[in-house]
Amino acid sequence: MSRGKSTTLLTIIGVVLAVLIALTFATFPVGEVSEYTSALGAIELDYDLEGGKAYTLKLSEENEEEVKDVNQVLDTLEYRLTALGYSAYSVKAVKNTDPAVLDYDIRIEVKETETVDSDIEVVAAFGEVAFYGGTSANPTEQILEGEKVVESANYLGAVTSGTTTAYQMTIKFTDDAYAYIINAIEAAEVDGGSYYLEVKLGDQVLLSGSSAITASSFYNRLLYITSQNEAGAKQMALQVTSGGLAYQYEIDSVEDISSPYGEGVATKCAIAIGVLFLVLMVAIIVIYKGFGWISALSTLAFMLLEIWMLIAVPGIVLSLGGVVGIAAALLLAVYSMIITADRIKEEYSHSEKTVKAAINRGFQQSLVPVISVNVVVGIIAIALLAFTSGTVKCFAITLGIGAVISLISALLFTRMFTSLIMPLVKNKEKFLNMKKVEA
Amino acid sequence: MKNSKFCKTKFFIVVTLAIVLVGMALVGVFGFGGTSDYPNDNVAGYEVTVSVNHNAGDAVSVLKTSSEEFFKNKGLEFVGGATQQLDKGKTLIYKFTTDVSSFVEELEVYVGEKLVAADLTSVKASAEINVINARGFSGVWWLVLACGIAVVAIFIYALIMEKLAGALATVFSGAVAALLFISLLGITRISAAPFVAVGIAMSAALACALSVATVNRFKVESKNSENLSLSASEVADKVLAKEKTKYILFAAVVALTAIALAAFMLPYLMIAGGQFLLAGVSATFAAYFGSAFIWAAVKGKKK
Repeated sequence: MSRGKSTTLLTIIGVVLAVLIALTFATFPVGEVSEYTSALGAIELDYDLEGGKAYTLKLSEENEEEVKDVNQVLDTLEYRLTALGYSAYSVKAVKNTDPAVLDYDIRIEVKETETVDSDIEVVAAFGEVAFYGGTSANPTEQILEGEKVVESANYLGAVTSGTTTAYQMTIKFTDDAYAYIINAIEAAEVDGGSYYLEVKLGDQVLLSGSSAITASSFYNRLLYITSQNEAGAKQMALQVTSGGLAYQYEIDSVEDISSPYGEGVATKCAIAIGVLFLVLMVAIIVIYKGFGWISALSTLAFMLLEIWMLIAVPGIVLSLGGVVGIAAALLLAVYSMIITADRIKEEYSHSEKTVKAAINRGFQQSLVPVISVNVVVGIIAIALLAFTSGTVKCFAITLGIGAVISLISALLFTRMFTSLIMPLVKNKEKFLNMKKVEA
Repeated sequence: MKNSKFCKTKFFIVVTLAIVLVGMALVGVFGFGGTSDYPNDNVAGYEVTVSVNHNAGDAVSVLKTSSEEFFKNKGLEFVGGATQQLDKGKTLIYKFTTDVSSFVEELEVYVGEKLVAADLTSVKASAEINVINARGFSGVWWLVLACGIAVVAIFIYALIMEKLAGALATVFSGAVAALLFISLLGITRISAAPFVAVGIAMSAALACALSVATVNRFKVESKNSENLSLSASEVADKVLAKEKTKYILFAAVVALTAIALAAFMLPYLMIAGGQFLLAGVSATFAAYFGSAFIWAAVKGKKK
């Protein structure tokens, strides 16, 4: 590549990077009324970094049963919060130290969202799913008591028929429960009658027992249930899946709450990552000289891409686990680049190759280890993403995104910057801090 | 290279076993280190909530300074200053690991006097203490499942890319790193929660990543004409000597990240920083020594 072409391309890339840096970190007025907020500021933060709302649940006066195991209640609440997409929440049971106070209050601390109030109502809702069956309409005899009846329940979405919209959910019965109901239907039909099934969640009727059901009401052990409102259908699916909240709680108070990790924790995390980035840059420039500068540029591109991906990928809410994931990914990105730098250096020092030939060979030699490093990390990130929740999941997301960008940075950006910068350098050997080693 | 520095010495085995045995014994006897939210008893900790009835003038500021002054005077240490503000700042939550019930009434009076002294006579202060119920770590088995699946997938990938010795070395390093991380957590008494799962995953991920690059180097170097007469352990030693700078740089950067996180003296960031350091150190150690150890053992002593 000619020097002129390199200079032009580097200038264009420099301008693009400068604009990206400004858009990522700067806040400036746009016109007279609006303001551009930095991309960094647009990253959605989770409760642990930003605070949110605290809901205190107290045992309802209508509650009949004594709370034997409050941890069971907490487990159900956590399951429901996770199912609704919350990750860095806090659910704890607190009570006064006065020995006369026996009941725990439950405090749910969670990120503030548009739907958080209704979500917490769903999460705290009382009632266990119960099934009633018989050969006459609106049966009152409870069936399948004390057995595992429901395998899963899912919210399906809206179904529009003409001008009416209803919201559907499904209940998937276990093999035994399904066999019990089908046998009951067949027995009723043999006697020339019909079978009626009513499904209740606490006092709420999910499926009315006013109409008879047949075996064809089921598809693959699935029973379809419709609700007139979306929140209701979601609530039903969530509650049927997570099991009933065994005790009746009421939301007693709702208050704003700051981050549990201290004031300004998000800013402090950003500063920590910034310091890490700067020191890393200085270290690789000092150790690897010219290739250090090339790696520093690639790492800058890596960081900018990682930040922008946090905004571009829908649904990412950054928690402290995510911050740790970014730091780990940054380490891996630099490590990947160092692998290439070392291989180039060795190719040059232990052979008769020219600088250009050593660079080409070094990139070839480092291809497999660089890919392997990022693939291995990507595999772990995918596995964690699939099976974990909460702050580990956020760690997996930022680490996984980081692994992909690290791969691109090490293979593409580093190569590109090398191709653009090297034609401008007169003493390439000195620039790359390389020396021939005599055999 | 007749005497192998790394592979033939028992350094790796002795250090790993010592750390794991001591760490696991400490975890077995005392459990993990815990903050007030994550201890090992039925009681997770205590929360003292200090409130003002309305947010007039500097009431909240007086509330905060006088409460913290009171705790300091009484020698009561709340968990690293992880204070939460509730109800738009009108209530402050201080977490303690011990029961400080006997001080609560006195605290209320003290804060009330400070409010009066600040000409905030219309503001009333109140204080109460709550006990928090302890719970175990949740989601451990999902983490184990995720790690198990990742190990199988990484083994298959490394088997294709780096052959059996490389694949075994990679997953071995990851497993040892995770084990070392847990043990070091037990030894250092750094609080396990709320980041222990992240720490385990990170130590395993970093160790596998470092290890897979190192075993690739072993493979390449063992085919190098210069090294054909060397045993596998000698090749590994030669590679490790070259890779040392990279590993030192990596460990130094990990340490720096930990310091950067902990420097703000926020308790949870200190826990995160401490765990980051332990995960990084475990990963570096396991990958540097473990990958060579297994690779050379599987490859055999002579080529």
